[in-house]
Amino acid sequence: MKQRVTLNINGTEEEVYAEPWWSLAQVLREEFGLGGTKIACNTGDCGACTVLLDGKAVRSCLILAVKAQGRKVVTIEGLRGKDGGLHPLQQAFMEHFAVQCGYCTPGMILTAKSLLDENPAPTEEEVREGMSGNLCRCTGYAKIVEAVMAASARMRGEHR
Amino acid sequence: MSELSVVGKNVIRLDALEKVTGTALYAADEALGEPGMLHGKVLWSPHAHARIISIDISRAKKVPGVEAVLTGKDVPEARVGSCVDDQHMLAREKVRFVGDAVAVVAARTLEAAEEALALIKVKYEVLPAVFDAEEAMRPDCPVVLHPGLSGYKRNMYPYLGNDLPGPNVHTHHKVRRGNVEEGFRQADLIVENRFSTARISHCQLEPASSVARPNVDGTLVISTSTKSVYTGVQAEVCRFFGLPPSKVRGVTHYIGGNFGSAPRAHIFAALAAIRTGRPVKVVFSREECFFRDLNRLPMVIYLKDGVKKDGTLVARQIKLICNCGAYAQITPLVIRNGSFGSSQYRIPNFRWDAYGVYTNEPPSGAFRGFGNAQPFWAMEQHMDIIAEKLRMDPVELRQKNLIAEGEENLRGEKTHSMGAAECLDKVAQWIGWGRPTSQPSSNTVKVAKGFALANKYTQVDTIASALVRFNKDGFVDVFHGSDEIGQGSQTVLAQIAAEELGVPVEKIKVIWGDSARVPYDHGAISSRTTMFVGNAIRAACQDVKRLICATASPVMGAAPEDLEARGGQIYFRSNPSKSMPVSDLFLPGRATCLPHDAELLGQGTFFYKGYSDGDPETGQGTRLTASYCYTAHAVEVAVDTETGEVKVLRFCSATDVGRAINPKLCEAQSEGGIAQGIGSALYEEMLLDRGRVLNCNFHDYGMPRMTELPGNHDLKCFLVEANHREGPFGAKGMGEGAMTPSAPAIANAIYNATGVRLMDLPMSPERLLRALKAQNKEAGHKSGPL
Ligand code: FES
Ligand code: FES
Repeated sequence: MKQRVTLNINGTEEEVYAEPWWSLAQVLREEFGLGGTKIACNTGDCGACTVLLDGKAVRSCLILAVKAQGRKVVTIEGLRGKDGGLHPLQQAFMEHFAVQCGYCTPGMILTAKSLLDENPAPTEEEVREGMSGNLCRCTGYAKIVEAVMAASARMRGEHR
Repeated sequence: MSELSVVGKNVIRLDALEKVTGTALYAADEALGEPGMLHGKVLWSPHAHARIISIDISRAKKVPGVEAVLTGKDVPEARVGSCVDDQHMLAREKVRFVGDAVAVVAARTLEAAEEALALIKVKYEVLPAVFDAEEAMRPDCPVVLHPGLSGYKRNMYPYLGNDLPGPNVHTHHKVRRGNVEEGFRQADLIVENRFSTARISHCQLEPASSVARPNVDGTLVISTSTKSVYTGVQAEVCRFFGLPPSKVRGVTHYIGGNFGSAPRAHIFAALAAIRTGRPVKVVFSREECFFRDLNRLPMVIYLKDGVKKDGTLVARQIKLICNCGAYAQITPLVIRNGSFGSSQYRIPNFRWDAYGVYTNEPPSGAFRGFGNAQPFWAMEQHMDIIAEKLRMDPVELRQKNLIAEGEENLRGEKTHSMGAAECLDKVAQWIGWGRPTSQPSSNTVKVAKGFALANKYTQVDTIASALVRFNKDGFVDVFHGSDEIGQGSQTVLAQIAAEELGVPVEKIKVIWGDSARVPYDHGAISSRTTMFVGNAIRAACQDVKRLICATASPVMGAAPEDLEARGGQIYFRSNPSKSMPVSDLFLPGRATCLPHDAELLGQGTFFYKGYSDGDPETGQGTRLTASYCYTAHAVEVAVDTETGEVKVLRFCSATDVGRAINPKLCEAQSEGGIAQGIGSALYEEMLLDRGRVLNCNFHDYGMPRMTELPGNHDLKCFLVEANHREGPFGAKGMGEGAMTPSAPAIANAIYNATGVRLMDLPMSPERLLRALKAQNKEAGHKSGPL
């Protein structure tokens, strides 16, 4: 039987009736139309479905929607820079050609956001290590790593 | 050529903003939560080969919410296929692989569809099956997949059905040049080996998805994640369902990666939509993608080379046995086109026989490189083997045999736009060929370099059309029928239009992806979009410029040929300081020839005249391909001789792209190709147990992750620009060439590190350890007491 779930999505309090087996990814997509959260494997192996749950990157295909009760979810649609415009990561992904087909992109950006929140000045190895759970079939990752490094530098500059 | 202002610049991708904000729409995102949408699910055969005795759908039909349960009885009786009509959409009498489609359910919820699927009872009589292509190829193979093969209709290259040596062989492709026997007699050295490649999966991240909507007027609108609105969707659905093109509208959105895959969720969505009269969405699970994507065609390759003492190649004989799986699909074309790679060297005596064989494995198809990466796996290892035996430098051996600009290649084509020599030099220099490795070898970790040279042709027999609309606000709409599969075609095509029209690229809007709204194109296949669609767009831009001048002629009081349209202005050729904005042609109340709301529309088409399929017996012709993109890869690897693990330390590529319209996008293709190349070389293989894929998920299938690739300082992608006279601004296609030399380059490096030559893909730790062990044993024998 469907259960009532209340959660905060991208800053707005929302309510939804979800079957107990529905994943958060499925609910974000099908019930809220937030198609930016991608499902590529549905088994937790690729990171395409990554969202921020209370600020931390999680695989929303592995999390039951009912378990998100009362929690804060940020999807790619809700990511903003300080000025309300593009987040420096989004900007850097554009400028460094880190996007090809784009299917891994939302998950990559949100994973990187979580990584930079914890470690604002990572080395290239730390970026590769920290993001190795996210698969991309198009880019070979070089430009994604470059973009994350560039965004990290820019964000540190902003904080100064 | 005069200064270019947009071509050659790193214009930021036009689709980047949508993609980084999560607003880009893909087929899987269409109709999210849409009420009234039915969900389609397919029942797949659990057997590799079986006769269907009966199918009981009575219980499945009773599940609440189920609108249709369809089986082989509900599909057209005629067989269909890409090259050979050998398949029913849903199996009618027999299933031939684990994953053959048996039934389709359409229901109001996914849960209901899944429940119904589980309630379909199929009785099978299991039949003996064959999985090995060499076994299946034998004339006396007891298992015959398609006893009716000789009567099947062939849709393209019917001559590929001649001279078939066994009942499971559907394709035999031949190339003949000179006389190989004579060539081998002249040779001072003959090298002969057997190689094999693995079945690998595209793993594009977007799962196969499709939405089919029947319109009240009888039109079917089908959006899909499979590319090519005309050839991949419209033409195919028309053929499969016997519908006229006017009744089928193919739509693509952004496509979440492709690399040649053709999973065709749209066929099942279309079937269910036609039978129910309701919109139906089908999304494959990742597991389903693995067995339905039409994986990279595995080949067994017997290669024999004859060479003179001085390194001159005199003869090459190559026999390929291709495990196509249960249905031919596009493999006859993959097999034929896989032959073009060998054209890069001058080989006076050449013989190629490639066989497409049915087995009870999941069907194969196109994969980045379209049949070229597999022969290169063998050919480019042989070049190193030969060089070593002749004590020649392998770079020099290749340079010596490279075909030259203007020279006739072994297919009879005149070579043009030949940047291979420069590619080789670039990678050899960067990797430091002949110089010490970046780190020394230890007792257990051996470090060495290796390289390979390969190419990818672009198919010649396709056509592209484009429309260009010059709007009164100065913005330009470009309409074309190719796809955005991630390669950045929209950006490149906008740059071509901007350059030709002299307007800023920000003023170009590119519109694609709907057969009802964009002109005909073959789609994003064969690395053809830049060249074919780019040329069509250029022609359309020239057409609209002519129209602008003709329209301005009476207004400006000059003959059209005395005017020039550039950058939104119309100039007098005799006095370029005097001009009129194009937008003035739209001004009301002026002496204008255009009504206020009119538009200026240009049209362009591009195709090759005078191309041929080649002689069916010899494969010879004067124009068989549009262009060749050459790629050299050089790598440095560290081989752990205790674990068998190979780490790629440094990687360099150089690709001859003719002209880089957008260098960063070319570089991005190169980097992506390298990652797939490393994956195919070291990790990737669909593991099959009697036809069943065992590792059909991202956990067990070894797609490379960030940590498995060299760091950014150890990666370099060069672009070489051997302008192609027929390419737009000199450009050629380059997306597929990006991965063709990787596997042999890595194999050559592993050999240089360990002395072990691996001839089967992938070069997994197990294989490498086994080979090292065998080597030790041999060495033990040799160094034993005399
Ligand atoms: S879709 Fe969730 S990890 Fe792949
Ligand atoms: S850009 Fe296509 S999967 Fe990463």
